[in-house]
Amino acid sequence: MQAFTLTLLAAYFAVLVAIGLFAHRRGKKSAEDYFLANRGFGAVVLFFTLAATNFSAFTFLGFAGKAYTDGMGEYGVMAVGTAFMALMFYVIGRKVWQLGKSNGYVTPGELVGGRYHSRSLQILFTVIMSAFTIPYLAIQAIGAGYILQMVFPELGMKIGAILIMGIICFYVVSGGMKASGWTDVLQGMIMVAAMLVACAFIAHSLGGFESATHAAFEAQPSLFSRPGPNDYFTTQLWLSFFILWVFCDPMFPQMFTRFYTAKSQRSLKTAMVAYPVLISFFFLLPVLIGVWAHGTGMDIANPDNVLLLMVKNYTPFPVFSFVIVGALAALMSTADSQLLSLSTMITCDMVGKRVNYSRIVTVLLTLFAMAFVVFGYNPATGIMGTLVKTTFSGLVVLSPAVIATLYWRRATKWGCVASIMGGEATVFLYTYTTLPTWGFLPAIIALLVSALLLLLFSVIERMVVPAVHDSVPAQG
Amino acid sequence: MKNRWLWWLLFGALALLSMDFWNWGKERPIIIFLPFWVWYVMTLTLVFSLSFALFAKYEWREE
Repeated sequence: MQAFTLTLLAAYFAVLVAIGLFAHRRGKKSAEDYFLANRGFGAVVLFFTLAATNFSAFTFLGFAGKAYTDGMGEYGVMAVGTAFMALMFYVIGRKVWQLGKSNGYVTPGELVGGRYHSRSLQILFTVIMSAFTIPYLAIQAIGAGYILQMVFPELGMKIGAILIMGIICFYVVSGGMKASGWTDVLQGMIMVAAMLVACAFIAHSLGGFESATHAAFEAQPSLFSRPGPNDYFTTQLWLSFFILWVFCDPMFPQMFTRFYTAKSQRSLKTAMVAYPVLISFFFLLPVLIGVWAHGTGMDIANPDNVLLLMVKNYTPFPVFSFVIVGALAALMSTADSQLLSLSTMITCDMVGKRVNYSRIVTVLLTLFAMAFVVFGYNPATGIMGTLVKTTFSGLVVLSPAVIATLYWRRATKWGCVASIMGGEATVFLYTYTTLPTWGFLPAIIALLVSALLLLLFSVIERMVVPAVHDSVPAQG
Repeated sequence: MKNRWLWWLLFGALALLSMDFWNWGKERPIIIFLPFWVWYVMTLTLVFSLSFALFAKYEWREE
């Protein structure tokens, strides 16, 4: 089995490296080509790159793990908000695309800072986005290590993580956005196919879909309702996650940057329509596998491993090997996009649109992610807990400033600064103290604070110094 | 402009429909290996797609 998996993985890695080299040869050597694929992604590439970038190791392993502990509610809480989020391809994506094209913007910070002619706001935006994305990048590396460890225990988690990050770094440095987008198409197809095959084979081994569900239902009926066996999926939490995905997902720098890469608005339209269709069935598959594990009587110590253990125990080894590749594809497609968007922001917003500097930053970020794995990982918090705590909350509070920048003519620089700083302060207050949340995620309260501060400070600033801001042209 | 408000009203209604509190606490009926509420959620995501398709066709003007 190890030899077969190794061959499959070697072939997969070879194709990724080949795409990176091909993208390098096809590149036009311009900054816009390296950072944004010359703003030329058609509908198919844009759809796959938006989907593969957003669906990470967390989708593959975390969904199944959460469904194992808390039941089918995991499907709804993830699917509804993420599917509805596609509307943001119009609300945010369309405007970002238009402004990027007309003003030559490459990063999110340029767009926000550009509206108010404020370099300090541009830097602030970039620093915040980067600070909350770097841990998320490191988590992808950790996921890669765990996945490889399942097949090659002697390799060790850390070596696996270093190997995967090294490959990602190579094709990102070689081909920039083109390599990232083109590999996303391949990785997106692999991850969907792997999940479909895994689910079908597991169902077959358990006597069919009906039998698999029936056995799990007999073992624990509360898995099939909300709030679930641990009362996790309350109505407040459901609403919280809906709001979180709608406003947070476009704030991921790797998603935001992709809005610039669309060839036309037609590409964005297609992605908006196709996105919920993919989510409707793709998110269900890992959740089903996680819930079905209860009907098998398997004893699972770490819920994040449930998907791979189910595949290992209930499918023939070629399927297991394929699913390993699929899981790696899911996380690598996210990690390469994060790596590129981070290096793009750090380079373009700090020193200018210099491709070679960006390549150096990409290598440094890769080394940082490797070091995070080697020295800093705390497994006690789990994938889901770490993500929500450090990344989603920190990024969602940027959305009021972005939406105001795009749509509200009376928004001001200090309104945005207050919104961002106040939102982040609220996130940290909730992380380190025990303030009441009334059943909602702290991120939603931070989002509200952020929106209110934006409104308040913009109005006050306009009252105090109206003439200054009337000269600033609104965008859109 | 009037049409635009109707679209946002539709999207608001769809967002509200995703808060299906009336299905809470119900694990039955199980229909074709899934609880009814899971079919509801799946159908709703497909309705999102349909409404986005109509919006893209009739309201989203490429400038």
